[in-house]
Formats: sequence, C-alpha cells, structure tokens
Amino acid sequence: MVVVYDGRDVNTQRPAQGRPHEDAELTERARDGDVSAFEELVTRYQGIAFRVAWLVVRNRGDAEDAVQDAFVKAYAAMPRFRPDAPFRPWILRIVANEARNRGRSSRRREGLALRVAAAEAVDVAPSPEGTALDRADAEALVAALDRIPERDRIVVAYRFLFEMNEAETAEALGVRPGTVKSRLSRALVRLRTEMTGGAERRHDEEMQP
Amino acid sequence: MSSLQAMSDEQLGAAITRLGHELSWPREPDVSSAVGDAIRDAQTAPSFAAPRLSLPSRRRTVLVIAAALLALAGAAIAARLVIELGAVTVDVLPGRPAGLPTNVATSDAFGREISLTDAASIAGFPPAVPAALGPPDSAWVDEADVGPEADDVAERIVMQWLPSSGLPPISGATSGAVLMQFEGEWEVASKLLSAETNDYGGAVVEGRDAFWTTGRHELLLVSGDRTRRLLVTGNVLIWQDAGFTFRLETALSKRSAIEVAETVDPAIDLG
Repeated sequence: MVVVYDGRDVNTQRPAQGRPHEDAELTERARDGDVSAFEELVTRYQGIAFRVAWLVVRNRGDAEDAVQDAFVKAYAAMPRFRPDAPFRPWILRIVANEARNRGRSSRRREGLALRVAAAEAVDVAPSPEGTALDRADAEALVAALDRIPERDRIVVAYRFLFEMNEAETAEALGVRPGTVKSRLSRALVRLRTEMTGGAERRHDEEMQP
Repeated sequence: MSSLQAMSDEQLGAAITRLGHELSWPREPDVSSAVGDAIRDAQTAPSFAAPRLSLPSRRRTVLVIAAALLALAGAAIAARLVIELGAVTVDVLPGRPAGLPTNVATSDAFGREISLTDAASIAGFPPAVPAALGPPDSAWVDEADVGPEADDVAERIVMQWLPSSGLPPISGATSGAVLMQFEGEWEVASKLLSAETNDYGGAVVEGRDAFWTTGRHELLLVSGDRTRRLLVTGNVLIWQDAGFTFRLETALSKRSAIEVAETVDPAIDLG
C-alpha cells in the first residue's frame, strides 16, 4: 500500500483561516438548499468519510466513489436530518452503507500498514499507561486489524482509531450504545484471536526447513 | 506478542488509538467540487416524485430509467425493468409470469421467533413498530449472508399482526399485516412482477420515494445462504428510512398503507 501521511487530523478539516462555521449552522443552511454550505460540510468530513469507506471496501477507487455517492445522497436526505443531531455520525453511517452496497469489487484489496518511519522505529507508541508497543506488536496488531471481519474493524476504528465516543459510535452504526459495548467486546476478542493466530503462523513459517 | 496479550481491553484500546497515529492511509481525495456539481446537475434535471440525486454511474442510471418508467405506472412495458429500493430489488418482467410459487410466506420463512424486547439486542437495531398498528402479535429475526466472511450478514426483523377491526386478512394468509425491516441496503430480497398482471407505481411516504404494488407475485428472500421463493398475495408498500428498507404487506388500500407507514419511526434512541 502507498505510504502517505501528511499529519493532518482528518476527523475534521477546518478552514485554515477565519472562524469556522458550526456544523449546526451549515446543516441548517444545507437543509434550506444552500449547496455551498453543504460543500463546506463535505470538505470538513470527507477525510474521515474516505477512511471509513476505505476500511469497508479496501480499495481507494471504490472508496472514493462511495464517498462521493454518499455525500450526494446525504444532501438529498438533508430535509430528514434532525436539526439537533450531530452531522458526523450521520454522514459516516451513510458512507459505510454506501461502501457496503458496492459489494466486493474485483479491484485489488489494500491492507493497513504502518508509516515507514513508525515501522522502522523500535517503540511505536511509548506510553506511561502500559500501552507501549514494540515494532513486532505494532505490526501484529495492524495485521490483525486487517484480518478481522469488516463489522468488527469498523467498530474498533470508530472507537479507537477515530476516537469517537460511545454515543457517536452508536449513531454512526445505527445501534444502541449497549450494542456498541457488545460489538466492541466481541471485536477485541476476535482481534486477540487473530493476533495469536498470526503469531502462531509466523512461528510455523520460521520453523519450516 | 506478550505485551498485547497481557493488556486489558481498555489498554488494548488505548494502544490501538496510539497506533492509529502511526498508520499509513491512502491520501484522501477532495470530492467537494464533484459532489457540489452532481447536486447542482440533479437540481436542474427532471425527476420522478422527490428529487433523486446521484453521481453518474451504470447502477444509478438504472434508477433514473426506472423512475421515468414508473411515472407511467401500469403501462405495459416491452423490456425488463429493474428498480432498486435499498435491500429490495423489483424486477418487472414483460408479459405474464411463467409460474408462481405455491407457498405463501408463513412464520417458518421469517427466521427465528423472538420477543419484541429481544429483537434489538439480537438484530443489533431496534424494531420500528408502526404506532398505527401497535405491538405486533409475533416477531422474528433472520439474517442473510452478504459476503464470504462469517460476519458478513444483513439482519432483518419481521413483525406480524393478526387480522383485526380495520386490518383485513391478507388473501390466502393468516396475517393482517407483515412488516419487514431490513438493515442497510444489501440486496437481500427481490420481487418479480409482471407488467401484465401486477399494478405498480410510485408512492410517497413522508416525502420520500416509495413503491406500491398489488397482485399476486413472487418474492425471493435470502435467508442465510439460501434463497426462498414465496408467493405474495397482499398489497405491498416499500420505502426507505434512516438506513433501513421497509416492506409492508397488507390488504389495505394504498392510502391506508401509507398512513400506517408514516407512523413507523426508525429514529435511533441514544438513550
């Protein structure tokens, strides 16, 4: 996979200059038919939307198509958007659905990978909370994230990669918060299983004559 | 591996968060202009019922063609017409049906019977009960395989109401109403209509495009990795809302069915 990372926070991309409009103001204007306001929302959330779509379809071209179609559909659905609701989980739900609707294309599936610099480092994420990962662990974790089912990968991504809280994750998944807990718990079990399986597979490969 | 396996769920989550900052992602495209252009193009194009917006693609073209033909509801068609309605696809075939299945959908075709209170935790989403009908007499959950992995499944909830005052029985069936609530938009059901023997056309449910059909026809319903062929004898209304596709079968008129549909509220309760 192409190693590109420019350090931006894709969870929201705010304008570089001037006071950013609040989501509520933009969604209200979009509900009234203001396309430029909606385009500002697209600019703001297309980064995380693309990553969600990519995690589902695992291909850049398909993910881009899914994101475009999802935003267009979302605009058509703006009259039904609750004015007091957060926009981000709403659009991510549409994006994920749109990505799934595309099914499994024949295009090459891409996998998660560490940045080159991180992959070469000994300590990927040193921390005082006991969450430090050495390089082998980091690579094992990335590989396991790649292998778990899409539904598990998405809930892990929402909660931990994109750092969404439980309520926002629930809304993005279209489930109750309690369901997020159970899905996340199940996903972490599968993640651990994959990590164990991956280690065993590597060990077996190393033992091959 | 040892440090990962020794971590609690909370620590593993924190480790994933930290790892996330070190992941390589494909560079995200800037789609804002393309989206804006598509919206403006759609606003100036003729449309069926409410505007249906989308980027040009082969699949979307099918929808546009379908929308135009639906405006001629009931008119004979010379070619096959495919209408995509989220989880349900409608095939309108020219001519008369070659042969309908004999089995009317009964409870054993709906999946695992559950209580309404268990439905949300089993299916992963709350059942959207039409306020006009009240709690159903029975409910089922089922899932359809939509991919090669074990968890690639689309859940659905089916609710049934027995005939009652104001809710006449569906011909040949024991139900007064059956509501299917499909998760997402995986295509897990399809209806085969005949241009000669079925009436069909557009409808509007709370401002949203909907589809209405009457007359006996065939329903293909994916359950697990199997597809069931079922005979439908009732009048069917299909619409989409909040990421779900709904299919309501009754013996009601179109207007009454829409009134029932408009009391379905699938809004997610974040509690």
